[in-house]
Amino acid sequence: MVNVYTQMLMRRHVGEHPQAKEYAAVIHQGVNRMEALIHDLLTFSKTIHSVDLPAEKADLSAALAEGISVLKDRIEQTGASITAPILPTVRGDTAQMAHVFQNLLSNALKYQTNGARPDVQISAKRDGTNWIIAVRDNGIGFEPQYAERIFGLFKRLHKEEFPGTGLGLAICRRIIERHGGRIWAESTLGNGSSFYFSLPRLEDA
Amino acid sequence: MKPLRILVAEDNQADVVLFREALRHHHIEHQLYVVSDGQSALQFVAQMGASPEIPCPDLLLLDLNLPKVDGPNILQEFRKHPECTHTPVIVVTSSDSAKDRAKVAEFQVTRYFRKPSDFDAFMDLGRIVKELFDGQMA
Repeated sequence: MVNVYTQMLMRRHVGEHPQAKEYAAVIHQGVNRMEALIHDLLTFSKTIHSVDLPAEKADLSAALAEGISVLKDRIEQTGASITAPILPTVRGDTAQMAHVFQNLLSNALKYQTNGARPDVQISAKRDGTNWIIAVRDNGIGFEPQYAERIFGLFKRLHKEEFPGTGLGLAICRRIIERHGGRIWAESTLGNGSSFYFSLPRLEDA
Repeated sequence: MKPLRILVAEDNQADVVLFREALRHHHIEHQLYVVSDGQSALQFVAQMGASPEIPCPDLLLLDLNLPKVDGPNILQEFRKHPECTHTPVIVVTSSDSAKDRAKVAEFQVTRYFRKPSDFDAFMDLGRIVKELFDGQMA
């Protein structure tokens, strides 16, 4: 709404004033950042306040498909390739697991060198009583010392080049831990990133 | 053609201004009946048709998240009125959640309009209204 009013102000009362246009662009960016922040805070608040342990079955392939469908436009714009085998079903909430995939994929698409075509490979393997799901990308990666920090609230490694709220991975961690799992990341700068999360196998959960 | 009588249930006056803009933008003659909370909306609905000041509208623009009473309850009551069982309803909302849509799906929503953050996209609301009443507004 603020953006719409700013546009009306510019079109009807300001016109082609270069500095006013610059200020309007700043307002526009600010509003977009606020909207993203509110959206992510609401999501985070929902994951924090849902205390019941998930009792349903979460089909991770369906969750991935849902995450992909939300990002459809950006996948098309970037020409990204996303490959995944059939993923297991775990105990949990499909919608929340979709959110995890959406966040991880969104990062994989975002943190790329200019013009690069994102390549994301998803895999699943058994590890004792757990499934470990891996989401590997060919993006810019990060220095290993930040592997833990990036899951903190509002902790970001980039400010200007890549927009974001610093809530996405914190939300993922909360969701995965609520499902009795663990989430972590591995990377070296310039060589892509791998995000892993473990979830108890259904028969053992 | 008489002006379209539109009941607007919307608590944000800034959005009501934009609704008017969108209708003007598409040259739609209109008379708005604005209620800014759920209780006022229910009162309007209860008295619809009883006097010329409170007519059965040609269209309902309904925000789902209103003070006091939620949009789905208003729509439920609106549909009970014998003259409004098939009146077009456009749900205007900031949220795009499937849960919100599910809450009103059973009451025949004609269109969902997610309030956009771009002027031209917002003005599209006028086009949607125009298409709904195409033929009657020639």
